[in-house]
Amino acid sequence: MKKINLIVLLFIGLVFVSCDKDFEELNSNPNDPTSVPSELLLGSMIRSTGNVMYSTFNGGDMGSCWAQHFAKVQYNDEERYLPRESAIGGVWATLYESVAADANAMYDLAVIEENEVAQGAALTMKAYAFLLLTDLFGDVPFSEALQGATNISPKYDSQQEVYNGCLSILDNAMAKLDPANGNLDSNQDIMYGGDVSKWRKFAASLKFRALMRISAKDLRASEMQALVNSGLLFSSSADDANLVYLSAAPNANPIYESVVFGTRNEWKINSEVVERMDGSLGWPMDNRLPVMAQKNADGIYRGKPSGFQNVPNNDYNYANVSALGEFYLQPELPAVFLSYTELQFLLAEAAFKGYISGGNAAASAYYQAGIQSSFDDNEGAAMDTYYSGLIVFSPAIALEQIATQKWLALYSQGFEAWTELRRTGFPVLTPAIDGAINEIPSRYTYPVIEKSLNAASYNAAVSNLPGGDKLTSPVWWMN
Amino acid sequence: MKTKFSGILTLFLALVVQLTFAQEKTISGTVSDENGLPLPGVNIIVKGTTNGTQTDFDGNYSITASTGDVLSYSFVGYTKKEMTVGASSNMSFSMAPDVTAIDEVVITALGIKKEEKSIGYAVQKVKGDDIAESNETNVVNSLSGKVAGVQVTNSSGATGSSSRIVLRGASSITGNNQPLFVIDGIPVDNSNYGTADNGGGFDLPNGAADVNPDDIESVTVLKGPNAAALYGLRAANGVIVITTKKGSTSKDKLGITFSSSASFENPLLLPDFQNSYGQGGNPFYFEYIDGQSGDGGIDESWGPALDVGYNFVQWNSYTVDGAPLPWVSKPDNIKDFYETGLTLNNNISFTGGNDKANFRMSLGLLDQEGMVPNTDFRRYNIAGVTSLQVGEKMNVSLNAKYIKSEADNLVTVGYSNANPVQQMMWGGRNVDWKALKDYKNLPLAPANTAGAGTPLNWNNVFQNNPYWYLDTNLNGYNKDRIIGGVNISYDIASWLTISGKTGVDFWKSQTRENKAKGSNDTPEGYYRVIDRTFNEVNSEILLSSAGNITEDLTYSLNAGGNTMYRKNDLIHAAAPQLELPGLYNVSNVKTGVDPIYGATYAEQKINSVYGFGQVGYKNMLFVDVTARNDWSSLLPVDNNSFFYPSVTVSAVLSDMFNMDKSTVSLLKLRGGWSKVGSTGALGAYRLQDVYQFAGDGWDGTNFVFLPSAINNPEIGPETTSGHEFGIDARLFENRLRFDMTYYDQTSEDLIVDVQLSSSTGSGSSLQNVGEMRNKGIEVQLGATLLKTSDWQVDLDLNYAKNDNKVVSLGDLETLVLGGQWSTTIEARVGESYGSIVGPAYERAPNGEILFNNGLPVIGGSKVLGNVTPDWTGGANLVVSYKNFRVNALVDGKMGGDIYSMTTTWGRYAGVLEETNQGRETGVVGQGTMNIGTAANPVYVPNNVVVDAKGYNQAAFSNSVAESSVFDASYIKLRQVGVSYTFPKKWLSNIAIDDVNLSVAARNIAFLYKKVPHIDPESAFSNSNGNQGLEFGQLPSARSISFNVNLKF
Repeated sequence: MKKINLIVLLFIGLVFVSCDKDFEELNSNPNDPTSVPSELLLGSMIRSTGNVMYSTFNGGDMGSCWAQHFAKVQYNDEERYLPRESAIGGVWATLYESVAADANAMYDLAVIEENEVAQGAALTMKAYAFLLLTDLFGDVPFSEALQGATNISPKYDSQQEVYNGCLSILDNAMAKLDPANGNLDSNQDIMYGGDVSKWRKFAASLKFRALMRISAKDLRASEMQALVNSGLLFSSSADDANLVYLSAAPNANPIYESVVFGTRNEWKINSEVVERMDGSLGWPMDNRLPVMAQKNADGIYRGKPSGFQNVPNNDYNYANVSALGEFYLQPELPAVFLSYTELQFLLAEAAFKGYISGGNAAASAYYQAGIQSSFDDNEGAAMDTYYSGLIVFSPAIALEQIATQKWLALYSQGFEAWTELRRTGFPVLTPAIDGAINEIPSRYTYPVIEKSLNAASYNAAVSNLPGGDKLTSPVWWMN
Repeated sequence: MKTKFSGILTLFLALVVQLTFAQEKTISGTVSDENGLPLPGVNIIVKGTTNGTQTDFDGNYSITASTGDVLSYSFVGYTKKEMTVGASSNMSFSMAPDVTAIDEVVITALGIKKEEKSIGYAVQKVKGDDIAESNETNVVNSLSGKVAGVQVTNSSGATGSSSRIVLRGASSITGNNQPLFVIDGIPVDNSNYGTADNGGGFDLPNGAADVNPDDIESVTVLKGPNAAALYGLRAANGVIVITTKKGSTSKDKLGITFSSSASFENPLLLPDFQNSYGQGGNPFYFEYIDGQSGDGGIDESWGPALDVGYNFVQWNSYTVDGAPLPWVSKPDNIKDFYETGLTLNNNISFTGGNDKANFRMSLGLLDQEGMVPNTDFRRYNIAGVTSLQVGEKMNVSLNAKYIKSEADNLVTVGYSNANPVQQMMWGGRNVDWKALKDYKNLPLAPANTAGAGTPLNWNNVFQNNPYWYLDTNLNGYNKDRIIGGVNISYDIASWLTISGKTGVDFWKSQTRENKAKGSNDTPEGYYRVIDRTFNEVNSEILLSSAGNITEDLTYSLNAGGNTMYRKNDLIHAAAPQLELPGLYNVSNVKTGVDPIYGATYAEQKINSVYGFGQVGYKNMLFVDVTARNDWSSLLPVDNNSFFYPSVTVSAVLSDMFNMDKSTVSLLKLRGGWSKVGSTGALGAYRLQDVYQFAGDGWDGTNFVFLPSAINNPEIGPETTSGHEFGIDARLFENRLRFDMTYYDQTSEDLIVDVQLSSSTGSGSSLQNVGEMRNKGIEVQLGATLLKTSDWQVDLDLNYAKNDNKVVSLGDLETLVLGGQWSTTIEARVGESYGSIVGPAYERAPNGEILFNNGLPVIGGSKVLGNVTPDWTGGANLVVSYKNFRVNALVDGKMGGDIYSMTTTWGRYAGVLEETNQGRETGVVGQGTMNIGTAANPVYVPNNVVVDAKGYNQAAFSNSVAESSVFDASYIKLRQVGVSYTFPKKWLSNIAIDDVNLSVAARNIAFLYKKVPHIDPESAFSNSNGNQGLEFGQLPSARSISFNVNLKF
């Protein structure tokens, strides 16, 4: 009897103490890969970037509305400079977590694979994300960012440092994006279908835009000229860095998904755009208007000025303010990352200011090419006699002309339109009626959560901001 | 640890050796109670010797004795019995209850029955009759107000809604904080797999709600870690032990019980709406064009005054060829929307058996129709339990339950236009909802509107016709579940029993979401199906020994092991848009649209060994020790083992000091210390970083991304350790009953996905951080106020105060648990779990709200409240007169706050009663304004008149939360019931043994509450991050049920 008892006890002990040997195998993940080919990460980060730029709550409310391209006939807090905290946090989180971090991971995997072009595309996307972040927020974590749990309180680098860093990332990217190094996965590259030469043009053109952005603070004319000379800049709209969306949600353009699919019609055209196109300011009639807007219930194009707390009202409501044009409400509307059109205006400004060669003649040519390209972008609207009167290149007002035409051309590209408006100051616009502040915002405030998650770095960054963490505090390249 | 464990084994073996010398003749048998149910734990001793034993779980015993010896059987609550050993070696009999008994038997960890007085920790039992009396279909709800320190939150009155139960406050930051449910020895899944949160989705019943309350014999609540130490890492939040009814051994005839109830439900509470102003934004004019453009497109009620003689073109003007119709109020339009809910509950059970075998079989049918039109829920329960005595030494029992739950449509909650309440809050107060009901005969919404092609609604931009939506866009659910187990016990020797047990909890469920083309949120239609399979198997071996060491000293010793294996599979697929209307299948995906799909498989295993024992001295002093070690597959292999000890002491002072039984029937002091580990919310595969497939492709291309959460190869377990002390007293022959417990427990190394600044490239990192402390007291006070032959009046009160504090979160100050709009629910260092943090008003130096141009200025975010209540309590009154019994239950929760966006949007949209104020005269907000400059402020009382709409929309919106955070305290008249049991003499000539009729009303009224418009007992679902938030609440149900119980 005693023996049996001992055996039973031993048995229990053996069964239950020793049977955890298969635990490691049991707890190995059957759902997700621990490693992937680097290029599988590319599509997701392009889509994430396009979605945040074209989200009506991000690029729409706090881009196109602040650039006064769009105006809302209801729920217009953001238009009146009361940003939605969740939208600010969303931009920040998307660009860091879903774009920059994935670009970093893609780069690291591509290094192991010795895949130069994938490294180049990853670097371009990483630079794009950081340039967007710093343009929106000012100083942002950069040099210590993206280190995961290794550094949970990355310091904020000055905007100048972020720009310097991104410019060298782009140099590196251009070097790697040599078509001789092969192509990218044509399916994952939802921007260029794998064409590495176009990626290199994107990196080069992005660098040119960045150099122009900081030109008032850190003029690097020789680098601009070198880019022009290199032949690597966009040479036609066929080179545009565009994400052409698909026909249906969730892969349709977010403007379509929100306004058409989600039937949120409060985003309408701003009167500042309409007035410059319908002849009421004495400008030539602009055939882009029927592309950018639809007629209102009274059969005319009518915009709404920014602001007004109490909308909809008799003056501005769903019926009497023109909707966005059908072209801009189509599901396949591309998310423009950077266009040949914008580049022409940047080149015009650079030539006019003498940063690049060619003087006024070149400036005028670039300017006209930009206008033509913008008409082409707008469903090939006919220029007719548009290039006349006040539109004709005139050195006395060239900077305003170039900036204003660029502003019109950036319609629907909310972040970029607002950013270039902040840089150039043109066109001169009136801040929103009933605005929470009396000027067009100069930046986004930092996400509130940064105060608790990265307090010391956040406080140090805020102490460098002239007016504190406010919408009105200018960013470095603006001063 | 190893040496400790072998120490216990050595002691065990020493006893084996000592006791084997006394062999003479083996007497065995079964001891049962007055109902024929086996009575475990009966002390048996050969009089005048130290030779003794105890009955096992099935009432079996065997002991060695000589003919002529007197065996003494004792068990608290029963009359002591002495029997002389004769020729027979089988001595089976039943014991009679001691009518003067004051102690009860409770079922503790691992199903072991113990005399209440020997237990050194707080434990509370709720009888099956009390569960039945509540007439709740979810067993969790029936515990509300009955047990000190148990906080129950029923999410809503919608069919299929979940309930949350928390014992002694939250102990984990991210774990579910709810106790482990064990049914007949089988741990069962109580998870909620619903999708409900602040932004939509639908709730599903919590897992334990699958149990048929009619099958329940008793529920024992093991509150603290002491009580739960034996269940190991899954029991850090306590254990709810459910024991179902068993077969009977005493009756030789078939026993049949039948119960039937019909319950009618209507909303306990609806918001107070205004009835003076109609839809629109213009106070003088309204014109419905197509429900999208013009005033009809506005889903607010800032329009013209009602009932003053206006006529306007309205949504239903199509009935009069577009002519204006009278602009009049519809005060009951919301009330009329809700239907009378109906719950039919029918149960039948059969019991039978003899001294060798017994069984019980039952069948339950629950059929509910919700208060929200076209919502429902059905549950079918089949249960069988049988026990068989094989020879004299072996007992085999088997139990199995099959549960089928299903719903054709469960209502969507939260901020979603699929939630019908949303268009009550964003509504036109002039709209006659009844006229929308016959949607089949309504014209269709015009072609240029969002709702084009669907039946007309009062607004066609933001909402669909609510009746069409509920009839067409169904949230379907079905679940098939089997819970079953076998238990074999074998008496190796008179003092040694080995038992083995295997239990299985297996279920498959499916949820389906149909959305028709033309639905506001999915204009091209939508279909999603989620299939889940869950399987958990627990196998246990337990070796038990009990008996006497000396005549005064009793012992029990147990050693065992358990292995748990769980597999949780999920497969989901969605057609984000449909090709053909009305066909809900993922293959019906619209051309050009990428389907969304995904699957996750999760496996885990826990191996455990444990030992526990008790030493009792003269049945008045008891010391219990437990030790358990778990190995979990979720943790790193070299750090996956953790050990939990506990020790408790119970001292029966009334016996020690020979107190006068008629005055002090029982006075007991108890205390204990314990440590319990937990893996909290840790899921499988959190040790290694991975990439993930996006699950929604791009024109056939699969995307991969880097997940936001960083895993941790070195993650370890959470631990909760604590102590508790208590006193139990029964005075004046049990007429006055008092129990009090003080506890203090601390949870450390909490497993948290620590939120990171996104600038790290990640959203969170898995870590062991922080510490949370719960201390508090629980008091139960019961009194038999009156006791005569005809009358008995009992009043039972319970009270619990828990002080919860987040002591530390490592380097963090706060951790976000959930939220809605710009407000979050957080765990904040130094505060109770569940801080409500959101944007507040700017304050002037005098502390008043700062106004600018007559509108309040909105400042930054701050802590506006806390979800955790200060105390909970209940009062239960039972009055019996002859065969009548009346019961009443009041329960309450005091303190704790709720963020009610019903107030926010109801004020913003001008539908609530308060928005009548100042419509004609304007509003002057109460506060201070600055008439100086920013540099040199001059503060005076605000005197700027603003229009009511402007004021309400500035003071109540998603940009400011302060105005919508309310004290969530409440006291509810939870239940009143009357029952009548027919006198036996009436039944003597018919085949019915027992007839009981009852009427019970539940959730009857608020005796106290502070939050306007809603029931403060509210949540989107039973998860942590969904507490303390509210919008568009589906009203809680007030019910009245009529019940018949028959026994044959």
